[in-house]
Amino acid sequence: MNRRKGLVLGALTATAALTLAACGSSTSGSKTASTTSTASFNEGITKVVNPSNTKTNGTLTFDMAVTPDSTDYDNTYYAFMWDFVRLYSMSLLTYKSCPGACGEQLVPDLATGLGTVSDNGLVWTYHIQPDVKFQNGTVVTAQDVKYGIERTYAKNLLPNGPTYYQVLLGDTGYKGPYADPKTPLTSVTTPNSTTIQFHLLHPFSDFNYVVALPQSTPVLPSWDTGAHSGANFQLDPISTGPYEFQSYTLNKQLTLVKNPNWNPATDPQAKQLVNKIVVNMNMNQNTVDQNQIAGYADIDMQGLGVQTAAKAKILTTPSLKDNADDAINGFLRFAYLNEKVIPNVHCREAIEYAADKTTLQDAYGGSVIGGEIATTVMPPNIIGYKSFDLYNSTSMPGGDVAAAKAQLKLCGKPNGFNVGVAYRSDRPQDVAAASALEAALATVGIKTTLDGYPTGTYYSNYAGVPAYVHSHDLGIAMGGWGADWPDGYGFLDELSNGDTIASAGNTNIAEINDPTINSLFAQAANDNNAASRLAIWPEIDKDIMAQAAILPIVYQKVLLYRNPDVTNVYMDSYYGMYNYAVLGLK
Amino acid sequence: MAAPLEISPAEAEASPEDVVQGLSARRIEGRSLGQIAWLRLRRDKVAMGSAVFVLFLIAVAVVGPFFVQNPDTYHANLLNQTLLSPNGPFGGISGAHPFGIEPDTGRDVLSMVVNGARFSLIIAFLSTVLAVVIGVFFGIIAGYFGGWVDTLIARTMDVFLAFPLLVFAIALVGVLPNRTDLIGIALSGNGLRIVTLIFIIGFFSWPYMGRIIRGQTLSLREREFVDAARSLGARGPYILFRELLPNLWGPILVYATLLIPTNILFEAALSYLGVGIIPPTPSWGEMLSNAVINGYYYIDPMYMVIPGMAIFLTVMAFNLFGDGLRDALDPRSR
Repeated sequence: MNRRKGLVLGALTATAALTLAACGSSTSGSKTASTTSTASFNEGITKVVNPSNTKTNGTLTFDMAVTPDSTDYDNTYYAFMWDFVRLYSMSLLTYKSCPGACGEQLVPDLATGLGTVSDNGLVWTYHIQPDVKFQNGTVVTAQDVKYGIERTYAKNLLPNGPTYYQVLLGDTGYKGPYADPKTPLTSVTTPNSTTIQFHLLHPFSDFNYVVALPQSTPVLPSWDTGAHSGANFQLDPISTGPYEFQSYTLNKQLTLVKNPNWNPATDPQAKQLVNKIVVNMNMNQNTVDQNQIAGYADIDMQGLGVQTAAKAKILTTPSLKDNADDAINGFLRFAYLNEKVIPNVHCREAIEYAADKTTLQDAYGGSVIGGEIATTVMPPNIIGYKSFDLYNSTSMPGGDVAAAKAQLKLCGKPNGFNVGVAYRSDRPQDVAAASALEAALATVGIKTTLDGYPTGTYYSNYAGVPAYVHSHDLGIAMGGWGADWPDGYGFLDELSNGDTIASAGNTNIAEINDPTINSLFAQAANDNNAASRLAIWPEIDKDIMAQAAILPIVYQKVLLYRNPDVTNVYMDSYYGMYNYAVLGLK
Repeated sequence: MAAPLEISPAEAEASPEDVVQGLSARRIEGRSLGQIAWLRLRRDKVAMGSAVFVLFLIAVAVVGPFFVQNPDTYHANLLNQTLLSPNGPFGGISGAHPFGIEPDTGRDVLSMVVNGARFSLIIAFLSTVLAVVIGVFFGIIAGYFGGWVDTLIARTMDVFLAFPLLVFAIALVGVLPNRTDLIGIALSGNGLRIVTLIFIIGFFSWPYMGRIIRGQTLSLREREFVDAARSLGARGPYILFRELLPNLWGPILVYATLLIPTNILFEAALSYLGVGIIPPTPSWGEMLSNAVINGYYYIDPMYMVIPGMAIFLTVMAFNLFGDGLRDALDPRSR
């Protein structure tokens, strides 16, 4: 036969072979490169798995599919970073390192105790331990804590991070130490080198929680100069924790080594058990999952769980399932519905009714391991949660097309409208959710254009910049949120308080600026009575849902995998993932 | 002694004129190049088979979407709730879903493949047209005029051919805006993306055509008919477009047909890397990408095999047809 016939025959044979190969299921009997563990499925939710205080010379490896918004503890707003920075920072207060509800308690870290507040509720005082040292041996003083807080005002260089200090302390003209080196921050005072006082504009009973955020980490001003000052501080932030930066190739790889000047007696919530910590960033999520199962990586830093292939492998292989935890992480997955881009509330309500919650839930892992369909903004674990359902999500989870169309008529667009959807294109679940939302909205005539952005700059450059959102017609933005601290204020404030709308790094992406909601927040802030405060949170929640500013999707559950070689692994209820500050190796 | 001539009864009774003219009473005519080529092509079964498949594909791309369901319809109920994999073997193949369904969403794979065909073929065809237009234009000029014009164009083509195309294309698609008002026509989303891809793919594949046409022109310009035209007073453009170009249709057609599968693969590669058609609009490359990135290959290998087969069969069909066309038009290159 001639040359070409031979080619055709060869090609057909290859095709047949491929098809036959695909018909068989690909169980490639994965060999976990690790010792057997005695743990079981979901054990890490309530207990410490592999408890140990043994120091080893090993290297702990973190893999990450995205890049961090910043490694600067004054400039980051991702839960996984707040968890991770405790390896190289001590804030005034922190959360207790223990599993379960125990992990939501505040305990002193750099400070000697929880803050004391003056009679008029306006001055909070903290004393810091006198013998904590920076990585270079310099003793930490209260002025260094103040300097760290001053840095958070430099929003042009450090746009990420919460904005509680800016709202509570006043000093509205202050632009940070880089712009005003001479003008100090007047609302924070340091009577002596171990005392720091915060002068608030109005009483705020939750202030201890504010101080537990990473932003109260001390920063030595002489370290924040020259090549790594300002926005470059993240390349080598000065450490007060068990580890310090050895090298950081921006957004690619970070290496931490032991901090010789860290005194474990001053920082009982963290441990220094390994020699080195390596973080590999910007990888493919599937690769991260496979690395974990094969034992090449110890932890997936993002803490959002494994994707489809690894999920299937883990759930169907008993030995792998024993190393997994399917935990509620306290996060709400949702979509912001921007009130400026879609000004008419009925148009937004149409989106609420039309969304198909089952396909959205499938985007985040399905009903068994992905989490329950959400109908409120606050998830059930937040103090102040009350259940309600304004848009028939429980009775008609597939969407209520009739009600959606009725709402469209009320908003004057009976044939639908066009709108853009922002999402993080390097998070497969976000992509799936945006696609599912697009399909569901298309059934009622709402045509969406999907615009993907990277996780590292989503809040600083795109969805978190109101000007960009307006000019690009991004009426819908996918989002996820965990509480800044475990009560209603800590969950709802940065999401829905009109005061928190920022020009970059904005987390109130829906641009909710409702006088009723704002005054409820002010009322709660001033209220010292726990019971009456408790009643305010569900009211705010209902108001947000009534104005259809948030489309809740699921109260998230994540399927996390723990490498059996890692010690002290447990689910931290505050961060919603494993506690990174205490990990060691066998 | 020689064997007697075999004469059939009909011939024995025919008149002398009829015999000269051929028994079917047809005039013996010379056949044109096109006819000869067509006859040779018709006899080549593989090429004809491929041509039929190509036509079938074009038909699928044009009218297929009307016969299949909306690719954006999710069927969450057909998925296993724990793993979100399709219920049933072979990726959920059933009467309602002849190619199965997609994991995590339950979308119908057949409609995704058919809709994806449309984009793949449109982009491949139009970018090939663009490449051919640019390539022929510059190829003819370079081949005919020679000298510094030829040097300039030929070296430019060499630079393009040496470029890491895929990397450059990814970078280019990444920096282009999501919506523009290009020459008064407001384009956004997929519309803009398709135009962008056509321009990029076409712009980077023109040297392939350009070099071939330049070579052909170089050999053609020494022929007598060019001298004849020149001696009759014809100038450059006339010779280029009225004398040379008609003689180049053969190679143009062949190499255009061989360029299409390259562009299909180029577009599939760009989609695979995430800079092709914007999701959730289906495209073959993107389905392959999801199969790998989202790990569908583990729970549903058919989801990877089917778009892979689609690309494979399409590319093979075009290649075989182009091969057959080349054999038909120029058997010496066999």
